[in-house]
Amino acid sequence: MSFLNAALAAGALAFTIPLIIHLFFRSRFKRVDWGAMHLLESVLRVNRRRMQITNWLLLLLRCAIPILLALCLARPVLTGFRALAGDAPKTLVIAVDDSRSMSVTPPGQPSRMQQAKAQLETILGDLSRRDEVILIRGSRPGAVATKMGVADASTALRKVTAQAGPVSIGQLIESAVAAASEATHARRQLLIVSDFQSDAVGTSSLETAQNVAESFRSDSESKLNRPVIDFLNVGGDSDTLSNVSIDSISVDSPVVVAGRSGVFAATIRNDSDLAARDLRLVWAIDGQPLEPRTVSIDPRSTATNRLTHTIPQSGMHRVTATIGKTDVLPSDNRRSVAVEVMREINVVLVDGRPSNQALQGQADFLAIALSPFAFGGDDRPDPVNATVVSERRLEKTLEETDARVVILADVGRLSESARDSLAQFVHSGGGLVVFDGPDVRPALYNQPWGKGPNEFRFAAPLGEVIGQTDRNQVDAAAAFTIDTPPRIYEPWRVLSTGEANPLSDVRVWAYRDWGSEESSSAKADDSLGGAMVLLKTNGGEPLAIKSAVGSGSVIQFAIPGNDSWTNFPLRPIFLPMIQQLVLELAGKRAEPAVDVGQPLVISQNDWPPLTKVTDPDARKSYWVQPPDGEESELQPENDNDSLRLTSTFTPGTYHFRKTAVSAGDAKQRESVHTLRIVEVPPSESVLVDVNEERLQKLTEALDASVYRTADSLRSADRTRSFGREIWRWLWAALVAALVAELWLQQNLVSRRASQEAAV
Amino acid sequence: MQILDFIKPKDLSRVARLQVLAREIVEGYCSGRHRSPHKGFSVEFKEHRQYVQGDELKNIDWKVFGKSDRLYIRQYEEETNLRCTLLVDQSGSMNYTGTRSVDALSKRDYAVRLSAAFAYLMLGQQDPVGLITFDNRPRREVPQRSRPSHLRPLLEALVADATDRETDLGGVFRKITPKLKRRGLVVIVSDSMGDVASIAKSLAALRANKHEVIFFQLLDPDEVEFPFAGRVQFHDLEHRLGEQTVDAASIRQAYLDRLAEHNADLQEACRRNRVDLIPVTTDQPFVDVLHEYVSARRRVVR
Repeated sequence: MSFLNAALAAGALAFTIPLIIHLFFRSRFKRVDWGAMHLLESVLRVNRRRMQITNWLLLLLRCAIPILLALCLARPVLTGFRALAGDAPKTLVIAVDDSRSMSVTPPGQPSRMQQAKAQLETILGDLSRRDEVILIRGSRPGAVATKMGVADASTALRKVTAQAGPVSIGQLIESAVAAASEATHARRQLLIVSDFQSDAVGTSSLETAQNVAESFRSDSESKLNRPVIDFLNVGGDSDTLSNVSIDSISVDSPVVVAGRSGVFAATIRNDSDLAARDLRLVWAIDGQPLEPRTVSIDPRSTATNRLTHTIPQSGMHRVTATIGKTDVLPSDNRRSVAVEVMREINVVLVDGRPSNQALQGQADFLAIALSPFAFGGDDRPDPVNATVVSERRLEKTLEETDARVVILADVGRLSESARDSLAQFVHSGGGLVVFDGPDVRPALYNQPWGKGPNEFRFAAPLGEVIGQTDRNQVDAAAAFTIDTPPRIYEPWRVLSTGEANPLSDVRVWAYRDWGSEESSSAKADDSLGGAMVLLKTNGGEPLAIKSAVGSGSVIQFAIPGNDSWTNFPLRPIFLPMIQQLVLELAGKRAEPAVDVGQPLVISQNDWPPLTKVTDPDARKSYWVQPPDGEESELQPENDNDSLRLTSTFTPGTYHFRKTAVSAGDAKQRESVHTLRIVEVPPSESVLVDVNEERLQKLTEALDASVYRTADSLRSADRTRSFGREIWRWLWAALVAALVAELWLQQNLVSRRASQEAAV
Repeated sequence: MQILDFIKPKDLSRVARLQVLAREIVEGYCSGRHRSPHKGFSVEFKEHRQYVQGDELKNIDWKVFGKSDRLYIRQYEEETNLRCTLLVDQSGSMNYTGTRSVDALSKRDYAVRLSAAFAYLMLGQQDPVGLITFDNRPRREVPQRSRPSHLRPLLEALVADATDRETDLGGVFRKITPKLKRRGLVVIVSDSMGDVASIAKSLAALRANKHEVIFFQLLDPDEVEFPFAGRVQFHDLEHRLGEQTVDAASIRQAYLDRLAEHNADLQEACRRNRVDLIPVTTDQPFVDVLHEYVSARRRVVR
């Protein structure tokens, strides 16, 4: 045991005062010659022992009071409880969960992050100048741990904001342990600050904790200098908090074309036990608000609100939905997505057997299906601009137009260079649709297309044609029927209404067989060689499949695009199906929103084309403006490589600019813009505290403790460092002694006094 | 030595006016004012009784014979004198002198004066008075005499032998009882510091011998109220327990409880044996006590 104020312990000598008084009065008494000793004798015999004990007790209490008081003031510390070297400098690793749920502001209180900061300020205030602090943020687990002093740590802490995505406590512990290994001092303390949401403490976190604990046990050095792990829980009572959030905004239209209406859907969640009535929902395009709407959501449920809106300008646009409600988490009441609005979709149709007669060519039905307004003489713009070419002009057309989709209709011959061009086109994100036909030679499609990294094979190797190819000899009874399109293929989902098969009146009397073994397996699971089956006969034979190649997609049809083997093009369903398919292939470029913390990648194809400076040697520079900062220059890894931005820790809109300066004329310059949206995943809006059992498992695995306040943590830390301060116990003992002395006084002295007064 | 050495003239005149009447029938050797079991020649008619052979003819009530033609004998109550014995405690405990007693008398001095007054009173009504002083055994005995000059030996015996021996009331009474051959009045003056059970037995023995017993329990006010405080060293006047140093206040209640218990036991013993117990404290003028007691007793007897 040691004393914090050792000098004051000398005050304990004051116990001699009551002792001296006692001894002094012991020798003073009055003598009485007493006759009634017969009565006194029995009284003395019974009471002597009790009186002696009472008197000794009183003396003891009176001696104990100054001793206890002196010890209280001297602040004794029991060093038996000490686990760490008390005065040695230490490294405090603070790992802060800066996920969005930490910005929850319970009614009448500061936000959880502000509470955490206040608690941490208190803890930092206790550190000495020799101590070292490492601050880790949950959103940046891979960041280099920076050692800093207390003042710098305090400044850095003030800058921490809670706007990251889900943070795993396991990952946070791992990062903290890794940072602790870089610590300067042998004495290390890891402080995990979080609101301990259920998602954050998953099974993986428990496994990580067990691995960390195991490594402590196995490593002899760690065993000696094992860091102390503490949890500071600033969460709790999440069940009682009400929150309304916008979980997602999706673009229901396969592609949004300038001047044509697109459909957007916002999913709004009411995470409370009370219904949210008449909420004000405001849609905004590029920050321009539209007419407000009113929505109501039942308790603990979600609602979807759709916006059908026409965006006149092509390019990247920001679509935002905002809920006007004050709740515990205001930041999730707004969500945005980036939407690419296209001017028009250029589709190149390669007709393998063109014809001068109407609807006799292989691509004629497809051309009508893709541009129905143009075909019908309607003034309205078609979203698709279809160009029908022969296979010889394919390469040139690809170079001249910004084609998004190429459709090969019964193409039996293709030069190697054309195949290479198509392979590169697909790898760079283009869509290739192949329709079968009488001129198709399997050898052409069963060989690899493209060279080097662009090489690919078709998912379904072509086999023989099955069925009656001669239309005049068609036996209606022998025709194949087509099954309902699978619901997993989203573009065609809107065509299926109810349980009825939209393709029930379609008949197929001949189709290409795609390899007997693999096609039979497609009957069981809607996939063929890793490709998704889009259409199949009622017998299960695949008729259309979709496979991913590079950044693009390839769709193969086992039937032609005209009515030679099937009546499909003659049915009303043909037009919307082909339209949706092409729009889907042409769309899907940029992700609508990226999770916060995830890298943003912008490839060269993502930029709008330069129109003025087309000089290939033009000097290009790239700039980015994050939501909360100044515009800064970005360097791509090489001139043609993708642009990569990793510091996406702030949710919001990131504006990118590409500036090209002509090599010949420095004054000739052009800038193009694009944008990306970074959002926090909606799981952060669902507030659920981790259950006690799981948290206990976590703490037991790490031999850690959970604290609610800095004071309790500070007290425990002081006990670990210096031993247990026992002045509170002594204070309680002192109060008890005073009360006991008073009680005895009441029983002896006061009664005596009252008796004397009565006499 | 004269009675006036003990009692003031004014008080003595009050004592002289008092009469102690025997509550029960006593047997004296000469005619007096107390009822006797013997029927004799007196003025107090008692009853008529039928004549039987052998009765003296002079006792026949001829008036009754004349009226009823039957022979009846007139019987009269004989009055006799009251033989009184004073038993005075002279033990060490009687030497206690409190601060509030009359004329700063010790219990012993108070007992002497009370006994002297009682003897004077008895002798004044020609009743024979004897005296036995005792501590743990009988010390001095003065035989019963009724002549006025007998007061002197009584007073001499009372003031002699101031002892500091311990008390044994029960044992002493058992020794004294056989000496009191004829029934009479026994007056005990003592502080009753002894085993009550033993005292009760002795009182029962006295009562069995047809004695009438008056017990003056003499206590000092200090012994009744225990007004001490602080550290007090009690010195035993009977040298039995030596010195006891105690915090007086802390034991006061226990002492008072013990005294109450002792008194209750004594009262119960006296009540059971039909003994008049008269608690007296030394701050009361003894003549007043005697006067009140005798007056009250006379009213009851008559």
